[in-house]
Amino acid sequence: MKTFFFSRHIREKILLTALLALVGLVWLGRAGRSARVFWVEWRANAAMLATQRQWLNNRASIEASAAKAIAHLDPARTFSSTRLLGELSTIADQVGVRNGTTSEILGTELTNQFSVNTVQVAVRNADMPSLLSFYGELDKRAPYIGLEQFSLAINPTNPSLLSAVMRVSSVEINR
Amino acid sequence: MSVLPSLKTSASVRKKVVLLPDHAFFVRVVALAAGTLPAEVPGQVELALEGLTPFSAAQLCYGYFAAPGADRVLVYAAYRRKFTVEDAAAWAEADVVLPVFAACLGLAPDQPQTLLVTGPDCITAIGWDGRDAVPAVVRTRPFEADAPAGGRAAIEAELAASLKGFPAPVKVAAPTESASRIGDRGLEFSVGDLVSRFDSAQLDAIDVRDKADLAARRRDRARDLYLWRAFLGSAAAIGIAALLQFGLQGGRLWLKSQALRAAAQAPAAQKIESELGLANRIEELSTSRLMPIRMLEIVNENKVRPKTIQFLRTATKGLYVLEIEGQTNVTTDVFNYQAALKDLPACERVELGQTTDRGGLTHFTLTVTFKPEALRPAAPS
Repeated sequence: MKTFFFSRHIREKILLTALLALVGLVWLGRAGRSARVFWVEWRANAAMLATQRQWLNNRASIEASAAKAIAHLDPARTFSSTRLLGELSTIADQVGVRNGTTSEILGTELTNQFSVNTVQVAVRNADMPSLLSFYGELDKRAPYIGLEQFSLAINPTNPSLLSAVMRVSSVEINR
Repeated sequence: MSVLPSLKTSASVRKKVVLLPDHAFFVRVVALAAGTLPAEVPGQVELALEGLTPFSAAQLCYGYFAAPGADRVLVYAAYRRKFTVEDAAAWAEADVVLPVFAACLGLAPDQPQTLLVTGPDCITAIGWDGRDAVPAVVRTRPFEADAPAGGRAAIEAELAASLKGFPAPVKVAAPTESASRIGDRGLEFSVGDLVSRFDSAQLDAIDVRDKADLAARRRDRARDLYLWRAFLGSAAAIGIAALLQFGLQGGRLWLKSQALRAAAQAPAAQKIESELGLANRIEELSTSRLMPIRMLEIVNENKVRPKTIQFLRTATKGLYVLEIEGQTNVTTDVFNYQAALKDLPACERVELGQTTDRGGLTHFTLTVTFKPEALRPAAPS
């Protein structure tokens, strides 16, 4: 190869070298970019696997802490999403706001040992004492039913009436 | 022992060496002025040639052999017209052009030695006196190609006799072009059982071609060498790129298997993660309850809330934050209310959000962050 190269005319030598350099630079540049993309993907994947490994390695302790969290709860007093809706309806009846109350199941999060049901309940055009009673009844059922969010707004046409929107959660133990 | 392996890659590339008949050259040993630097040797050689011959240096084919530390050089020259245009054209392709006897000068013995070099048409005697690597005597006698053996013996005897004070001569066959090897580090010839070596710095000196042409050739060689190295570098870059591409192909396959593994165990990991989240939520439901009514009681105290302030909407954010949207017809009361809330021991932070004034009514948003201890539920009786 060296003999061939040295026997070429100077223009051919320059041309050959330039051509090879161009190919080399373009290819190396492309390979470098691919390598960088690969590196980023590899790191992301490695990080994901490490996180997963951490969760899987701690499975036993997490399950133990979950079991501990529900240990003091009486399974018979826990609420499924349907039971929760019924209970909220009962409370609304008790405090006299049944007509202005709407409830909607937002979702259920499941684990092997328990599930957490979330419901949004809206009480519209109620007076303050009724709302306080409703809140009081909910509070009595803690920790089986818990209030996670609460908003209160006045009725623009009748400021003595209020509307409350609550996000309520219940624990259900799977036995 | 041969130094061929040390000539590295270029040694494998056969280059052309042209050997010229000894009898075409006259040879002289020229003393150098004391303290002559190596760079000054060519000038002194040219000066000596002008004194030794009636021709200018440009009309001569000449070369010389100098050695480090020697106070003399061996100069050999031939009238340029002794060689034909065809000869000169053939030299253009050669790497080195030198007389046959000059090929033996690289032997450089460190003690007195005499060599009788027998070529096809002449015999040359070279005598080293051991003072340095430069021969003290070089004498050539031509003979007819069909001369009888006795005639050659007589020439040998005459040459030996002329070298008085030198050891008995060693007879060797003249080195041939095919017995030479040239590389980046220099040139070597096989001379009988011996090896005559020249380093690359000596090559231009022993070469009999025009020195300006040689300098131009040296520049071209250096340029070609740079180009060759660039060529090799580019080829190496292509090789690395190819390796990288192949490596990445393999890496991608491996990465794909890792991604599949991650996807396979993702549901299990997410389930554990969600289990922890839910366990924390249950813990929170049991220990840290949201107290919206208590929050309203605090911000609605008569001594705190100016009478002009009217709440339009309140909403909790997390366990300890209450966002209040309100209105008033006295703008300064918004700031008074904010200041009064800040002074309450139950409030950690009070931030005034968007405030607009329209039709004599000021609408505002306040975000109140309570201290956790202020919202702690009363212990069950």
